[in-house]
Amino acid sequence: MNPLLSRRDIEALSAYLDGELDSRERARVEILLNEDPEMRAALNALQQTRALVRSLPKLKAPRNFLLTPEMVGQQDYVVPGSKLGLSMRWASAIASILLVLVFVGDVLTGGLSGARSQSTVSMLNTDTAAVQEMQAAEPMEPEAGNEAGGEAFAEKSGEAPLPSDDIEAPEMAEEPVEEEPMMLEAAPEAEEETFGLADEATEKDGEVPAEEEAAAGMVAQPTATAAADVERAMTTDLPESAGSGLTETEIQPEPQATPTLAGTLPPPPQATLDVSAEQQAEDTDMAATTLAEEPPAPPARRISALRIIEIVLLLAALGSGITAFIFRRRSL
Amino acid sequence: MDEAALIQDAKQGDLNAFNTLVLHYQDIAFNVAYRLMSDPAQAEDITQDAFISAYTKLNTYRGGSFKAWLLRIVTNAGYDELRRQKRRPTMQLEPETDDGELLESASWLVADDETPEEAALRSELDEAIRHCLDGLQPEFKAVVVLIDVQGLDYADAATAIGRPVGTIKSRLARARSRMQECLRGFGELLPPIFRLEDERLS
Repeated sequence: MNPLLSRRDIEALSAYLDGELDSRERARVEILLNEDPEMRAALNALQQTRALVRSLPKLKAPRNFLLTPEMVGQQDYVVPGSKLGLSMRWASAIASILLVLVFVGDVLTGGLSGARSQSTVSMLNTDTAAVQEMQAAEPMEPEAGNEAGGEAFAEKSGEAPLPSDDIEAPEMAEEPVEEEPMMLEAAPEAEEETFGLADEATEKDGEVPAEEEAAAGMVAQPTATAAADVERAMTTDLPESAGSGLTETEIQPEPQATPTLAGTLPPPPQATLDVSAEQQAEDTDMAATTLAEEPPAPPARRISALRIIEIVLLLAALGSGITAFIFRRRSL
Repeated sequence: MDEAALIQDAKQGDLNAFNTLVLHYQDIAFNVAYRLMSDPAQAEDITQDAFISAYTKLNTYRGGSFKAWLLRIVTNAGYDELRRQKRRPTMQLEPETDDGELLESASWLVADDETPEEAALRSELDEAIRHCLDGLQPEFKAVVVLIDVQGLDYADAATAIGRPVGTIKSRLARARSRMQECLRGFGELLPPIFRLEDERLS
């Protein structure tokens, strides 16, 4: 800075150089320039300094600084005129959601239909077994129910109720010993009811006797393991139950024990089982086998319809998604 | 280019319209950032961030010079970065002589890894000017960059810096005087007028 000039004069010269003074101030500066050589020298120096700074090269941008929707958080940005692309994106999203819902519903429906068909077979087997049990029990003790028979067996064995807690025997001590023959016939029914949703069966089938309803009520939790336990107890140890300690209730349930129907039961070892009961058991086996082999027709039709819906939704989701993607690529 | 229409479209979310503005102003924005920072990488970051910020704050633009409004964002971003570097300096840019004084020669600015082509393009005078420019405080440096380097008028510079025109005038005069003093130290690199002035003053 020229020490001979004031700051105000320097500012005036700088602005004069840039043509940024009003007319009055410009006139004053021009008078000073004409009168003072220091002012002229200072003006030349400023002019040279400005020229030097202006001589700095103008650089080209090393790259384009174009913005993308991701940079500005504009994920859903759509160029005006491409509303179809936005519609396709929505359609793809909705179709995908519907596809998931239908698929989940399909899976759930398939599981329920399978369980329902199984329960139906079990229910019918329970009914036939109940009829068989009733016919077998008539000659001996008509008023004694299946419950009494099962309880009598447990009491006769001298053991506690089954450890699986699926079969209760609260009134064992009250049951007479002479009901043992009937117990042997009631065993198949108890087995079937444990895995066959016996409650539902008794509700649907109005002609089931009250004793059987009570027997069904004794089955607290119809599980496959309990059924296998009962079945094993009946098939394995019943013939020895008369003379031995009847420790069959201590046998642990085997996981591989399939809750088979009446056909898996051994023939009753007691002589009190008459021929008619055997015939009933055979009929029960046949009925159960027939029912088990018949496929549930209504669920099959529903599943096929759901498959078609799923395929249509899948195609819609893919088609609209691809279309939306194409529109998005074109908009960018 | 219909700047007003592009700005209006960009305000409504048309990113393509804003990108047209980006292409038009990216050179000056990068130059201002580069002159402020003297570092190409930082200048790129500042320029990109400034355009992003400009797009998101576009609704605050109330008319006038869009270039000045945009350069204000660039300048403020440069100020912020310079302040951050001042708070946390990473290295000493200016070497000292044996007696502890700053070395006024511009030769140290030449990077060791600079290619021959780059070295040829970079004149010693340019390095001297850049060195003197870097010696200014950010507020003075911004005025010189905007008015003398980029050719803005006082009004646009006032908009870009956010200060009154009187302040711009005063800062520019002081900055030019400091630049003049700094450039005298480079002797034979300068035009004769500088050497004659030195001889006269001495």
